[in-house]
Amino acid sequence: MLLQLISFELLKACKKRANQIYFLILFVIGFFLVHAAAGFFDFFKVVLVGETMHLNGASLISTFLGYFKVFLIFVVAATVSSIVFVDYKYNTLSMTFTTGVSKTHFIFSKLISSFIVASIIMSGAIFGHALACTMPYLDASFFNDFNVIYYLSPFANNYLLNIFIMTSIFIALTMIFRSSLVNWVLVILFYSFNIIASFYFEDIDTSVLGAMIDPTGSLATKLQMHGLSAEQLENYTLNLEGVYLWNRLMWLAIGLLSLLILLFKFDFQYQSNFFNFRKKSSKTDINDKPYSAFQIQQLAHIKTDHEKSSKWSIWLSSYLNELRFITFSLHFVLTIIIGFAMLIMTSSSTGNMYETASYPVTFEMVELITQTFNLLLTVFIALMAGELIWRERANKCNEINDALPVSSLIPASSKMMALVSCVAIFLALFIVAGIFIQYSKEFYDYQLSQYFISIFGFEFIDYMLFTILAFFTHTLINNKYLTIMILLIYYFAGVFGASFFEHNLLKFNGAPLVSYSDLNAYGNNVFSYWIFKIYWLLFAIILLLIANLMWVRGEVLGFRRRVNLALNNISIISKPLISVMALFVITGCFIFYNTNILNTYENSNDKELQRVAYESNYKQYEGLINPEIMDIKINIDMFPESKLISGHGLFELKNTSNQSIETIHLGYDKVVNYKLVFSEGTNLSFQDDKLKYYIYTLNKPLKPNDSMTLSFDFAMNNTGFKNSGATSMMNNNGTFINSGAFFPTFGYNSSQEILSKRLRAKHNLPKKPLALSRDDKQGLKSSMFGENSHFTNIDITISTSADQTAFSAGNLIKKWTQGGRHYYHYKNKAKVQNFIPFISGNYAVKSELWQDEFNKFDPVEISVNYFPSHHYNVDKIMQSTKDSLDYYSKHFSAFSQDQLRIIEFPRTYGSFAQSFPATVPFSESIGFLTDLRELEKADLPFDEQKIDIAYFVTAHEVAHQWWAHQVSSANVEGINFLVESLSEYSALKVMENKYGKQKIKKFLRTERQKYLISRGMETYEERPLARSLASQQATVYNKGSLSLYALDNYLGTEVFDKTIQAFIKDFAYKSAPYPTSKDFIDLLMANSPKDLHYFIDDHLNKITLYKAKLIDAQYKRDENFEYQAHITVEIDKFYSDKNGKEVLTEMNDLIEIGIYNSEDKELTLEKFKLKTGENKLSFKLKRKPKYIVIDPYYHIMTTDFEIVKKDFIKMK
Amino acid sequence: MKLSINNLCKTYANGVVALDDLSLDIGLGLFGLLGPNGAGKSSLMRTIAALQTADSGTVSFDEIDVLKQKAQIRKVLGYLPQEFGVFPKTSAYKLLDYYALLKGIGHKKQRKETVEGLLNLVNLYQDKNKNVYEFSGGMKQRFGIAQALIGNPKLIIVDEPTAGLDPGERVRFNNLLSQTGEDRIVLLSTHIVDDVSDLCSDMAIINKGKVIMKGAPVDLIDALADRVWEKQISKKDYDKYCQKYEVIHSRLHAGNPLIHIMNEDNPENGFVKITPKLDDVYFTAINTQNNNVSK
Repeated sequence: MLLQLISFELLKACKKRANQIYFLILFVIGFFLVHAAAGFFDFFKVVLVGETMHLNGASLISTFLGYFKVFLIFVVAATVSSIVFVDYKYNTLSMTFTTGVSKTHFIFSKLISSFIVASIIMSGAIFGHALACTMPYLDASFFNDFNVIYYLSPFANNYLLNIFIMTSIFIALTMIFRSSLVNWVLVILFYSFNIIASFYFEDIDTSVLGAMIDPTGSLATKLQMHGLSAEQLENYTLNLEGVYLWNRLMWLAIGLLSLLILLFKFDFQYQSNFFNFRKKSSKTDINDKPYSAFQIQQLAHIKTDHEKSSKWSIWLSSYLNELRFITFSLHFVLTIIIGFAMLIMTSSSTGNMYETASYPVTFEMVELITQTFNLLLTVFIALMAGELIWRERANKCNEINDALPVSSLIPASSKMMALVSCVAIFLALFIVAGIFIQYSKEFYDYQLSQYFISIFGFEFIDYMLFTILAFFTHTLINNKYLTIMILLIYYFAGVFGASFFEHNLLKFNGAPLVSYSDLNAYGNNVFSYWIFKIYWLLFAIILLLIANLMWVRGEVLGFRRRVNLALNNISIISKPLISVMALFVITGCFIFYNTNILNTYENSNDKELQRVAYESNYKQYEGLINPEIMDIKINIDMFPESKLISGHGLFELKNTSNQSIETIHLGYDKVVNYKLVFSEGTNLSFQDDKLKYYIYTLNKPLKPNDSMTLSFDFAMNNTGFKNSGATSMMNNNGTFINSGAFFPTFGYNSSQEILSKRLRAKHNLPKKPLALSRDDKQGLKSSMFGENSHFTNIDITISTSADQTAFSAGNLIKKWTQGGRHYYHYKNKAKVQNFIPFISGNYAVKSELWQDEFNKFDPVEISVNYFPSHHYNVDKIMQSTKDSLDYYSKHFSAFSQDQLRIIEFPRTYGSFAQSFPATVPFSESIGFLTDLRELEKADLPFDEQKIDIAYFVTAHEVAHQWWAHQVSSANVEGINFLVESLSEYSALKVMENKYGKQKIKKFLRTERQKYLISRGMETYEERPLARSLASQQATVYNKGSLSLYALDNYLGTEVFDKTIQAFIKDFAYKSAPYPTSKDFIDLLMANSPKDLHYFIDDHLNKITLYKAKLIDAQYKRDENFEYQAHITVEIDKFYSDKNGKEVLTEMNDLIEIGIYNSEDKELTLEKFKLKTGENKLSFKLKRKPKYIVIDPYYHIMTTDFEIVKKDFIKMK
Repeated sequence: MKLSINNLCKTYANGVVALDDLSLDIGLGLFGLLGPNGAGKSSLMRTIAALQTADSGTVSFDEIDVLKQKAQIRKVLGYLPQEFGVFPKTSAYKLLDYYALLKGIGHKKQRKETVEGLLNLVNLYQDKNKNVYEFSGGMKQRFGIAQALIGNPKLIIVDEPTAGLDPGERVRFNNLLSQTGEDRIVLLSTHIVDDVSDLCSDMAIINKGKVIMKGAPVDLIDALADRVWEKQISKKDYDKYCQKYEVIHSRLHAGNPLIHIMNEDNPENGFVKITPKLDDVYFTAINTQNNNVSK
């Protein structure tokens, strides 16, 4: 019987067109995505795997299937609806219920068939993926040998298990409540659970909680794969263990429990008596008079009018009717409740960095709100548009309504407007919530107008366009679930950054990005943003007109017949259609004129081909001798009002080689108007305007040690707008650009070369190492700032408008006002590299003079230039600058300039700070707004403690005045070790001096976490710190700070100081050959005791990992009331090789062990020699121990998610 | 006032022929459309209500070309579909008021008068604040006719309105309908023969998408006078009688078939002559068509 029931359901489901389409959609996306990832399409590329990974490796397949998990809940909802709810909808249950089918059979037939159908649909993605992987025309380097387990394991884990759990819950609730509404409630709940779980997961302290409550279990799998290298993940299949196992058990239990409740509660009754919210109606008919005294003729005088006046009242009445329907719907109420719950939860982490939140300033709130609600609101719109369109049909009053003398435009437009208004209501409520959160955090600077403009001037437009798209799609497709699926695909494609078209003219709702900064408000893109949005709004109106033609009224026809009908009726809307289309085309032409004719438009494929052409054509000139820039003189004028920049530059050039220079190869950036003049006679013998490569032949060769000059005029144009927005780089306030934008460069620029092995092969480019080796001659000649940058003198005159201050590198030696403009003259004291900032803005200033305690060094004028309302951490930044100068000048060497200024810039440039000689531009979103009100609070538990980001980042940037600006680094492997890792180390030392070791602990924990996570996402190959690639940020910064801090601890700060001082002495202000990490490490080794050389080697020259486990920890109290503790620890050391393989190594290493009491006080902290395998240790303690921690300060790299820790038990 | 239907054809996507070259002229008053299930009644009704297209043919109501001037016909139309629902949580008064507005009674006072009048007419005034969603079948159907009567429509279409109503409600509903027939065309489709004979002055019988008989019920019945005979027989004899006589229809009476046959002369054999009723007309027409088709 059960089998028969199931096969009946399955047969029905197979025939269902929508099911076939779901499968097909997933199949096609899977198939297509693999093609895109394998670089098959020029117009659409996605990067799914790193250079050494394969598209059919275990981890990729698992991640790949994970992408589709967002549809899983939806597919389950649709399947359950079609298999279970359909019985209620068509009242077939009363028949089924009387056939003698047993309850269990009935329920299980529904469950099993829903499970099978949903599983088959979801398998579409897998089949698409697997089939694509066998396509012979795809680049074979992307694929490994086929391994069926790599498919089966994630299919079982990601899909089957989840489908079973979800199907159980859905079926149980649908049958218990007998309402399709349950489906939507569950869908919304599911998405919110996902968001909440990931939110908890982000925070290290609550990761496990987040992983547990994640209904799909994918976060728990992340815990399991924590710390594995990308190569290990290639062959990794999930094990049912740890948090993942518990998560699965918990959710399986929830699924089974709901089934159990269903089995218990469900009975074959027509009316549900379980949770019946609706009051039983009294259907007794009290009116049984057969005749009425009223005569119909009495109403004969009432006339209907169909004039304009009543049309509006009809519209308004319909609109209010629909609005009432939405606002009283469960969807609406639920979205609000869940949304606000989520908001309150996530509000604790606005602008989080190192687990320290920023002040809830208004732009942070707007961002928080829009990010929190984006998915929720999108799902709401997609669902609700369907509910509205199907409302009459669902209530079976469509025939009456369709026969009414109103145009289809009225229901269509009133429904749409009601939904749009509802979105507006949501957004208005969000503003209220945002203000409430600000208030609750004791932050009272509410920027109401900013709220309003950000939300209603920008966010709202996107939702409105999406609403229109939703209405159009629902009308066109006329199948509720299928439409929602398509809308979700559209949404998630956008989230994953996939778009076939880069040009905003071709991408629905496309427009340049507008983001808010307190310094520069909405920036320069507002105009172009609105032009694009007007373009898309016009397009949306066209969609609406088409939707109106396709509106289902009366008879339900097939798609083709509706199209025919629409074409026949096109005359009804031809007038508005033609005029809107005309406007649409005109706007489109205007945009095209601006983006493609006034400016150049290049998509990423064009850019890639240009890089290929550049390398193929000009690689031959690499290594050619170029004149060296000895002196730079710049006059630059910045005009914030007219957004123009122009200037004049003069390079003093010298032939520093021992050969004559006959030709000068020159290139410059594409966005500037240029005029070049050489002091010696030259003629332009080669010109490539597209790739900007020019060769000038000198009439008389430049002999060794001879000099010449190059002067150049430049102007940044500001004509029209580009696809990405405004043309000008000039802001209203807070402009920050650097010399790279308009300084000419000499010779072949190897940084243009494509790095990716696969891309190079595709374009038939020869193989290229990821970085030059540390003895490469060419590499040693080039500094971290490029082939053209060496230590030079600079002389900069910069001007700006009267209300702004302008900054550049070096010491300010003079400032004056002339012609209503401010002028500033900067010159270097010590020589600087050719990398110069130009900054202009209106700032509040805090200035102080730094003087070391013994007056050994020249004083330094420090200034912090900040946006007036961002005053919160200015004192901390000032203090950090002083403390840094103290520490660095005492431990390293004297500071190189007489001034040091911190300058805030708009966050639209990014969330970073950058150090130039004497000048440190600093983003408004990194430190200036960090909420450090609780920093000094003494009694905060560890997980709530704050890290003084403002202080740390400042110290890091000041350290760059040494690491980059005193000692530069050769452009070879390990390039950033000398720059970034040493700056991280320096800043940590300054921070340690200020806040103590305890506070550093939390910082180090985050560093470790970031590094371990990054291992699995490596694009190229993981390399040891000393040979890291420039792009391997997690190695350079996070592992760098851990390693150098550990070395400092093991070797002693004196050894470090000695090494650093010697290193600076050897290399400061010296141009080529530049130092490499080897130079530093050699010095460090020379200064260190022999028995710790292994430790230096492990940290810097190798990738070293430990796996530790505390087997046993016991204590007893002896007769002197002292405590004896005995522990057993098991530890293994591994080296990770180039291929990510871990090789077990014999060890006899010093490992730090800490013992703590119940108040987290350190009772002892000692280093022990531990050997591979089990080690037994004993301690004598004065106080009662609570727990023991292996390596509490993260000096070695253990791969476990959490620190290795165990509570003591009392010895018997 | 005249509704004329000419050569209307409609075949559904699944191949079912709903209307097969159907032509009909309908004048003032209540017009009954009689036919078995699936005869094409609802298709015809929906086509006239501009809810459905036809493959060919025309429908005109006075000067209005129904199939082309949909907006025009909707202004003079009152429509009560065979099955209908309502939005939940809406009272009878509010819903009727809403429909009145949509039908074009923009004037507030007039709308109030209309709604109250109609609620009175259909005897729902006392229940005006109750949710229509919770009405009984009869009340809901009366609400339906009230809705169709809004705005004094010239053409009212009611599709099987009494199906599923208890006898009391049916009487009440028919009383309502009979009131509406003056000064307008009321097209009533039903498969209940008595409804037509009770209410309509003119009628047509359709089957398989065709009109197979048309006229005033009285005339149609008259045409059968002196030719219909009745006899109670036993079940086992039924087939025998069917072969021997032209059986119009049979129904059970106290457990045994009571058959009506058509015969020009007295068939003897215990048959009694009876005064024909509309069902005799109806079944004769259907049988004749079916026989013609099978032959």
